[in-house]
Amino acid sequence: MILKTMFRLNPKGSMDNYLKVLKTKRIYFIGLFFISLGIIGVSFLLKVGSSIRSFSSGMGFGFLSVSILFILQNEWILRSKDRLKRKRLEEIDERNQNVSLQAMALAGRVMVFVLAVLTFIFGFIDPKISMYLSGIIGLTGFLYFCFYHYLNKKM
Amino acid sequence: MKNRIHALRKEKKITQSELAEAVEVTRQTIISLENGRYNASLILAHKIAQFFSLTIEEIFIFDLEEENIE
Repeated sequence: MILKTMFRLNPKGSMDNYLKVLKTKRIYFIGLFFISLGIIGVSFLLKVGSSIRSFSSGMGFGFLSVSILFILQNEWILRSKDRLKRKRLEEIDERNQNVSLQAMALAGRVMVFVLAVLTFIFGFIDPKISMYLSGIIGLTGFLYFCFYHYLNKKM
Repeated sequence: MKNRIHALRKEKKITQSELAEAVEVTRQTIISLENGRYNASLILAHKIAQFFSLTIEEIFIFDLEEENIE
């Protein structure tokens, strides 16, 4: 449900439905805001290694900025009927959806290609990194396989 | 796929924005449709046909050769 609301690939529906989605998103992003604050707090309070602390605080600040950005954007849209209408139209527009999906597909293919090249190069420099990179390619392939079968059954 | 959207719009004196709002797409989509850069989905084709009170075939001209189907 949360993922469906946050990663809507082909949003459809009436204005009321869109309004509901935006209000639900607001709740989720406020939740993310407090979780980020928690992560930052924990990373500073716990006596852990400096690299873990830097990583968790970095992640916390990353989530925090994303949540603030989305909360502000959501509020900006919700405060004006005109903006709400325009934003909904942009989201339900089938050409926009197609462009977005094709761009994502293209980015995914280029990413896999770049990873494959890097895996080959790092094979000579550092085999450990090469192994991680090939793991990422494998994971991407596995996810593609899962989503392909899920969507194949759904359509 | 060719279409008669531009001609029909001119005939009925409707702006791209008005048509876009009526069929719930952006103005950019109407521009792309008119230029032939984008092919409408069946749903959008239906909406456009309904808007002009015509059938889909009367608006969208399907060419087998152009679509490389033959």
